[in-house]
Amino acid sequence: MTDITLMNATELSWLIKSRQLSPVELTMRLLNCINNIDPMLHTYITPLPEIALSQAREAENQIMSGMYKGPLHGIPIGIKDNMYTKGIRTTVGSKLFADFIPDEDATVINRLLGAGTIMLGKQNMHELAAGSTGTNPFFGNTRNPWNTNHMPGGSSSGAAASLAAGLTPIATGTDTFGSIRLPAAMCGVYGIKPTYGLISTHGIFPTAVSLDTVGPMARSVKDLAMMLQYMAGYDENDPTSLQVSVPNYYEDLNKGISQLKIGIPTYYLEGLDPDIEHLFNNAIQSLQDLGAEIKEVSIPELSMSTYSGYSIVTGEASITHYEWLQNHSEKYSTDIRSFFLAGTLTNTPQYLQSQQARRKMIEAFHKVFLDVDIMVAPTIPITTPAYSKNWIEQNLDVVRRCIPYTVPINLTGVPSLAVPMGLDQNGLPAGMQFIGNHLSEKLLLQVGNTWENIEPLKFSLKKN
Amino acid sequence: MIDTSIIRNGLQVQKFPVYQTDIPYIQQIMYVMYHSKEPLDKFPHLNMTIPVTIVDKGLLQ
Repeated sequence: MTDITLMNATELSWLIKSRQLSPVELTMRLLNCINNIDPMLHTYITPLPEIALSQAREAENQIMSGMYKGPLHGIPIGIKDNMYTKGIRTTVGSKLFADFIPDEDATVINRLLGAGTIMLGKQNMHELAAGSTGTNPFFGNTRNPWNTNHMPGGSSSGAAASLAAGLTPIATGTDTFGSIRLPAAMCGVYGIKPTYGLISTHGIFPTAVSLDTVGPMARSVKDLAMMLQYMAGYDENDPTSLQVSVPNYYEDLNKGISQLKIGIPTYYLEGLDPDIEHLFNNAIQSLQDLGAEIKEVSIPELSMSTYSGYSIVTGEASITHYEWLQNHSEKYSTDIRSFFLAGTLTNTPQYLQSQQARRKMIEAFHKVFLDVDIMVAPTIPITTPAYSKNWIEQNLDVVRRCIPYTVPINLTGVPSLAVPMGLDQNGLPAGMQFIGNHLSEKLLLQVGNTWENIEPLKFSLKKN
Repeated sequence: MIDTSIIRNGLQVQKFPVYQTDIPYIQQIMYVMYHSKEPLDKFPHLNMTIPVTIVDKGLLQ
């Protein structure tokens, strides 16, 4: 029998529902693993053993007395530490908020806890969700479980690394310029950055408000579908929330991808590390073998995304942090402070020009989706680097290399499903993203589920 | 590269403390931003495009 700490949530859910597995036993096993392994990996900032066990006991009592709430009932979860949790400190991965205790739950936390999940703890993240490596000078650098000398990617570093290490079956992430997809790629797990506005951001500490997105992370596509079902939906407390009906993400997951038209934006084929290029070509061949029709598509507007992404992210983040940067600048690490201060030196025409470019990119995407059903691209152009001693420079460099590949999705507000595509020559995971039109999460999950069935992490470039 | 004195003055005028160690990093980030602006020239009518801005619909009722 598979170790329960490595089982997918859908498998655990079935065992819990059929009363073959106790939520208390599962939670204790995971807390024990966190206690033993996490001092090496730093995936949690604040483990919550007492709260988790209390929630697990409650779930167990409810299930045993016939009050089963649904597939997330009794499933432990890791929560990114930029999501407000009532009465529980929420650090946003920053020294600035080391003692911040919110007086309400984020809407998405309310929904997940209401579904019966068990909160294992608040998870580590790149400081203020504004970096891509997973370094954190205040709470410890999260390490990649595939090789602890390497970075896990960020900013949802704790979520991705804990999933890969078996320290939680599901986790929450946020994505402003790649923070769900990038660590998912580096740790070999799954994550979906949904359509902007599909999941409420009420109670999420902002990074760049016009780009911030919340999404689920897991070890399988089915688990993502299960989580999204509860996380998605209108919230009157979030002015950017979409008033749309939420489809059943779980049904038709096995529909297959035969005759699906998949576009490869040529923009994404430039500047790839050789291993990424090799693995992506393998993946394209596999998609064709599965019956998909592949064609290259040209989207010249994407060439504006780096400028637009940098201007909007640094500009919006600098406004959130303006007074703290004036009065508590010593509480920021050098890379994040420099990133935000650069935003204070941008100007209004630059910001608006970036938002004009954004409209052009959205229109271009809509045009492409008249011709193809979805697109596919490498999640990031680089293989997973080892941590460098020059971490400040490395953090800024990883953002510079990766933002052109991740931020177009945030700028256009479309959904993107990050999936593994194989192992590089160092034996570390690499990933790709299925990109869909607005509100096409259901289709992306169907495609992702078909992809997952071929067990993509079996593709390895590692020489024995 | 943007002159470091422009960066220093820009920060001082907004009352941000200036860390000497930050300046090269800020300079590097701004270089990436300005360098990546070049492709915008290929879209001559960009300035006539309506920018994507956040409008709180609740306020407009």
